Amino acid sequence: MTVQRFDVPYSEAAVEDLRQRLVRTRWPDQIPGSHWDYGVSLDYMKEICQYWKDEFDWKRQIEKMSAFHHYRYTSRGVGIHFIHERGEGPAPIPLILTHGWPGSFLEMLKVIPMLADPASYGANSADAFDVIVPSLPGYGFSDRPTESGVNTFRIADIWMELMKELGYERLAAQGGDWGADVTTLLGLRHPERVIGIHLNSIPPYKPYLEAGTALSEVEQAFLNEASRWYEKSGAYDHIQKTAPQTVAYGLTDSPAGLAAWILEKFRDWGDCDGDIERRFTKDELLTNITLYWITQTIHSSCRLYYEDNRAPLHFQKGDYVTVPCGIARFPKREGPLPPKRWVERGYNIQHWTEMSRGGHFPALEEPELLVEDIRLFFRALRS
Amino acid sequence: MLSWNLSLLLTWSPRLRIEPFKVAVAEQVLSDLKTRIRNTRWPDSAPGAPWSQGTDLEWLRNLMDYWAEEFDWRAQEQRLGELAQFRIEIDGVRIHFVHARARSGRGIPLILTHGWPSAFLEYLPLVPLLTDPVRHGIDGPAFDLVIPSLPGYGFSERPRLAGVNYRYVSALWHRLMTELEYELYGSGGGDFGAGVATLMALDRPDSIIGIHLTNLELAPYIGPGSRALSSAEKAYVGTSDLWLQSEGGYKAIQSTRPQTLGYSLNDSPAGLAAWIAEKWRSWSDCHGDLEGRIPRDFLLTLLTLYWVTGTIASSIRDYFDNRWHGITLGPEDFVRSPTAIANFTSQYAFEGDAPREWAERLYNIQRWTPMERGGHFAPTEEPVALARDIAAFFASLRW
Repeated sequence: MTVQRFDVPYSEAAVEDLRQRLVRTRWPDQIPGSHWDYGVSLDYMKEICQYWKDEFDWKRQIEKMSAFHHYRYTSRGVGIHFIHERGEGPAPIPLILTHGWPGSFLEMLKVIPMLADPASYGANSADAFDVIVPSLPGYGFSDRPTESGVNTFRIADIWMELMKELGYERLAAQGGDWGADVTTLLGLRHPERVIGIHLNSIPPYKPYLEAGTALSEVEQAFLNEASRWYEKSGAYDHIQKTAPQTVAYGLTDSPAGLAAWILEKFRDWGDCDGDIERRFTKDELLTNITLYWITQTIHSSCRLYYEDNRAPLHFQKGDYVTVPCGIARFPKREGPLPPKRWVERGYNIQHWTEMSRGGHFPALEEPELLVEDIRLFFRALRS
Repeated sequence: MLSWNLSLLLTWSPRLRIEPFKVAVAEQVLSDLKTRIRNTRWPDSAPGAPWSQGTDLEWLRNLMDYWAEEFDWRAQEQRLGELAQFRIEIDGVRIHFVHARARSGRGIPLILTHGWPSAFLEYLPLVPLLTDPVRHGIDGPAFDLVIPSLPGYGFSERPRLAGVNYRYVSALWHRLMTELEYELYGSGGGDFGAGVATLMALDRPDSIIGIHLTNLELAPYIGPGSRALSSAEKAYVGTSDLWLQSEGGYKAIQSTRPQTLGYSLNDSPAGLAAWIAEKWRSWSDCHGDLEGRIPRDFLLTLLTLYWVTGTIASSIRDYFDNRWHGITLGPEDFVRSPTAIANFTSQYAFEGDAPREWAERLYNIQRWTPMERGGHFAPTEEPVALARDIAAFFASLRW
């Protein structure tokens, strides 16, 4: 059996060790009144770490996760954790949802039941999906790769194997952040098996451009803005793709350090106007952070940047995602919004939704908007 | 001890408070450090060649084991106690410095400034060589050395405000030297220290005898109206850009989100050690074997200094402040003071070799010494070669 049931583990000792480390946190100073100017605010860090230490209930969070069906699939020695929920409806189609960094499968918990059982949420059961939510290799309860080369291409291949193992010859795919890269590769490399792909963020891909191709003004402006953004906000990417091991020591050893590293991205990339808890509850934020802590996967998760840098999503001559693509463009993301023309160079865009609100983590931020868009896009592709 | 008391008398001033300072770390801080090291939660090892994805796990585990079980901080403290050290309070901020006077005669006053991730410790090998050159076979004048800790490093406090940049520090240093009754003085340094020395000469040329730099921290103005880049300059800029892409992640994060990074580094000795050791290995002339170049006890003295003072977060703010609240050099900016560059370019991760004409855009170069060996931490790596160069340079100046 390469697919086995999996129970989310709970360790009292690990929770106690975490609590002891939080008690002993040695805080840095901060310039008074500098708030979030230099990075995560010290006041907020103290507040959330106190909650983490005194009130956060990891056991209860695990009980909530355990309401889903968890499994592990082993591919070439690497165990992949996933949730699998069968759809409630006349003809559910399989849909694989892929998360990114610094998220996890936990992002998807709100949308899984809505997608699997639409009738229970006031929608049409004809829109039901069999929902598969894996953890990326090196993330959450998936194994940490011990060899080089586990990049988005390899991950897409593993996803196809997994779906075949589950008996799904044809499938739908959806994702954001790394999940958008992986989902793109599913569509690009396996068009015969993929019904369509839906992305809630545009990957930092490069379309194939013939020599002498003139970019539109809008595209050029976007690329300029993207490199300005990278200069100001791309440092996490820079360090994670060049020296992930160096940054991992402190993040693996210090819960406060780990929390700061992850929280910053939820605040920057969520549609929250700087008020992180307007979008995410402390429990949502800390459940994700605790998952990284307990599984000791911040290092392996950051390594995906290193691997990606050696095998980036640069389309070669002839590369074009021919399967139907749906884009839900949420207004807040990690950088400037790519114009449609830029995306059309590499993707067969059949559906493009400009969302009025929401950010980089729409499954958490705007589950209804995201789910409705996914249903709408795939409705036209169901045969 | 006599000389220590004597220098105290000589430097005491009614204007600003200067107090003698002795390094003495509480036992509790040291035992807490050991406990944390023993309790380190280690990440897994990266696949591939050692060091290819950052500080190597096995190397670091060895170092940390030695740090907790064998390293003798008290012995280092005792050694540091032999130096006359003070703290001066300027605008409510206490600045730590070593003050080492010429063994005999009137020394040339020289303030030497370290950079990141370093400390005043880096310059201590120069103290005997430059205060008593004759005894060490160095041909040249003796110096009165002032070796401060940058604000927010080691035993110096950092002002609790934004904008502590090269210029800000250069003004502090001028006040420090004035308080020590040095009206005319030389200034030297590397990394941030080279930037500070440059600003001292730009802003207060009348006080400066000359400046001596071991690397080029500041890029000259190369905008409209400046001479076109030579081919050597183009090659240098190209190498520097590539270096930034592959090696500049630390700089990107420190200049944009230093506080976020600070939480882990201030809470984890292993995190701190990995972050700092990686730079000493990449930037020294060690060919990848850090401990073949930099003694383990020196490295751990430096790491312990950062740890016990809790200053990693404040030190990396330098990158943020110099980037967002920094200075911009324009076409008018030119250092007229005599300048010497001792070009220590043998970094393990080669950052480029600036040609002389590049430096001449900004400096009145009077001495240019390509060094065969030694990288970014020249005072510790090649103290004798550096001391000779400093002595020869200042011997050539009239003041």
